[in-house]
Amino acid sequence: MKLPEFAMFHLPTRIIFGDGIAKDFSVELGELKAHKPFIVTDKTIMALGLVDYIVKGLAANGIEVKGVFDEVPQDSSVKVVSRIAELFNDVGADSFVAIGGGSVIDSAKGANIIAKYGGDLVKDYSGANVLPEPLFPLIVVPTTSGTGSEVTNAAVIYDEETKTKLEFIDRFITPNLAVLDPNMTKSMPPKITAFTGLDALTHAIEAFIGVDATPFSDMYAKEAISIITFHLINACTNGNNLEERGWMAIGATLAGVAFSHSECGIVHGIAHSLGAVHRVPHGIANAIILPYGMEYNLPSRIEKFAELAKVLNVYNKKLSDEDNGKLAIENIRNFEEEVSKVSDLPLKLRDVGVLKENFELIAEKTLQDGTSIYNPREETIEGVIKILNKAY
Amino acid sequence: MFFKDAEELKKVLGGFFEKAAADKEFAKKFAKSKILIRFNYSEPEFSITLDMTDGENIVITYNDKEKKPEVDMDMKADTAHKFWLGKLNLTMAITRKLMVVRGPVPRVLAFIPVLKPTYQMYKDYLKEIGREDLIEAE
Repeated sequence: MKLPEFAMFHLPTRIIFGDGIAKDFSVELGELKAHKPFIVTDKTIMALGLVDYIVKGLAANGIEVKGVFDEVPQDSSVKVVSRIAELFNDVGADSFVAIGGGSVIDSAKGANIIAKYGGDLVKDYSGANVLPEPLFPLIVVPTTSGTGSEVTNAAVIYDEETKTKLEFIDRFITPNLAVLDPNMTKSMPPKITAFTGLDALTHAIEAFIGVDATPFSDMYAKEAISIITFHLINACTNGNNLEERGWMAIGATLAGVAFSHSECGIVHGIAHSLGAVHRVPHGIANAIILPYGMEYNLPSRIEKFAELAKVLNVYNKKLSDEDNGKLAIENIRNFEEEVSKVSDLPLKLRDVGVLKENFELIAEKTLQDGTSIYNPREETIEGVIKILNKAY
Repeated sequence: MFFKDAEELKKVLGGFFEKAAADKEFAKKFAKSKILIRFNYSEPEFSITLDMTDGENIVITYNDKEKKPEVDMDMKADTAHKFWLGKLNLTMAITRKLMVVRGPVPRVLAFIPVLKPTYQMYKDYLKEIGREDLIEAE
C-alpha cells in the first residue's frame, strides 16, 4: 500500500451505544454543560413517539427540555434553520439535541451556527472552515442507520433563494455526542432500512477506494463494510431485532467516520445529480449506482478492490488482483439484489422515474460535483453516461 | 515571506493570472466554471479577483471591493505561491485551515482538475520574469 502524502484523523464526537441509552444521557449532557437542551426533529419522529421516549427519560434524570422544533422538512433549508436558531435563542436554551435522520441533523448543525453567531447563514458561513470558535454543544440521536452525519463535520442545507444545496464544512459543527440506541431505528420499514443501509455501505466503499483514503479511514471503512454486509438483510426482514438494528447503527457510524476523512466519489456524485434532476432519494440513487461506479473505478484501484474482496470474504488467492476486484463487485451486486428482494428496493434507474434524455445533463452535473476530485479514476461525460446506461 | 509587499505580489501572482488570461484556449477552459472568485491574501495584504462569469474570459481586478464574488478564498500569500507551484494539496490546505473557503466548496473542488497544467505555467512564468529564486522556495 502506498504511503499517503497527507493524513489527518480527528474525531471529536463522543459515541455512546446501548439498548435504551437514549432514555438517559444526562451524565454526558452534564459533562458538556448542556443543562437546557433544545430538540430539533420532524413530524414523523414525533408521531412515532421517539421524542417522547427521550424527553421523559431526560426529565426523570433532572434535565428539562427547553423547547422542541418538529417541522424539519425532507430537505433542510436556510429558512428552517434560521427559524430554529431564533426559537433556540428565544427560550434561552444552551445546547441542541437533534433526533432524526440526515435532514434533521444537518438543520441542527446549521441552526447552531446562527444561534451562536447570528448573521446570514448563506453569506457569512457557507464554505469550509469559516467558523472561528466552537458552537453550542450538539447531541445527535440518529433514527436511521445511514447518513453518518452524527460524526461528520459537514452539513448540506438547501437555499431557497438560489435553489442550490449549500455545503458547510467545519470541525466546529461536528456533533459533540452521538447517542446510538437501536430502539430509535426499529420503526424504520424495510425499504428505508435498505436504502439508508446501502447509503452507509456506499460511504464505506467509496471512502475505502477514494484518492484520500488513509490507513486511518481504511480501518473504519473495512469494519463498516463487514458489519453492514453481514447485518443489513436481517435488519430489513426483522426490524424489531435490536441486535441487528444495533449492528447497523454501529456500521453506519463507522462508515460516517471513514467518509468524513476520505470523502466519496463518482457514486455519490451521480446520486447528487440524480437527486437534483429527478429528485431520486439519495440512498436509493447510491444503491442503484454503486456496482456500476465500482466497475468504472476498478482499473485505477485494482489493489484496493482486491483488498475489498478479502473484506467481503470472497478473495481467491489463485486469481489475479483484478479478478478478485471483479469478485468483490459481483459480491456487492448480489448483496444488493438480496437486499432488494426483502425490501422492494428498486435497483434500476428506469424504476425511479429517470429519463434517458437527461443523461447528458446528469453527467454534466456529476463532473461539476465536489466529489469528482476524490474519485480514483478521472470522470468523463462518456464514462458517466456509460454508467447511467448500465444502471438504467 | 516570499513577497515583501503587495506590489511584488501583484507583479508575480497578478502577472501570472494575466498571462494565463491572455491564453485564449486556456482561459476558455478555466472560465467554463463561470465562477467569480476572489483570493484574499495576507502577509502582504492584497486581493485578486477573477471574473469568469461570461464563460469565456478571465477578467482580473485587484483589491476590488465592487464585485460580489461567489467564492472568497482567504490565505497567506506564501500559501498561494506554494499552491501554484503544485507543492500544496488543496484538500489538505482546506482541512488544515491554511485556506478558508467562503461560498460553495464543491465549485472550488470541481475546479481543481483544470488547475493541474497551471503549475508548470507558473514555473515557466517565474523563469520568464527572472524570479527563479521563487521556484525552489520551501
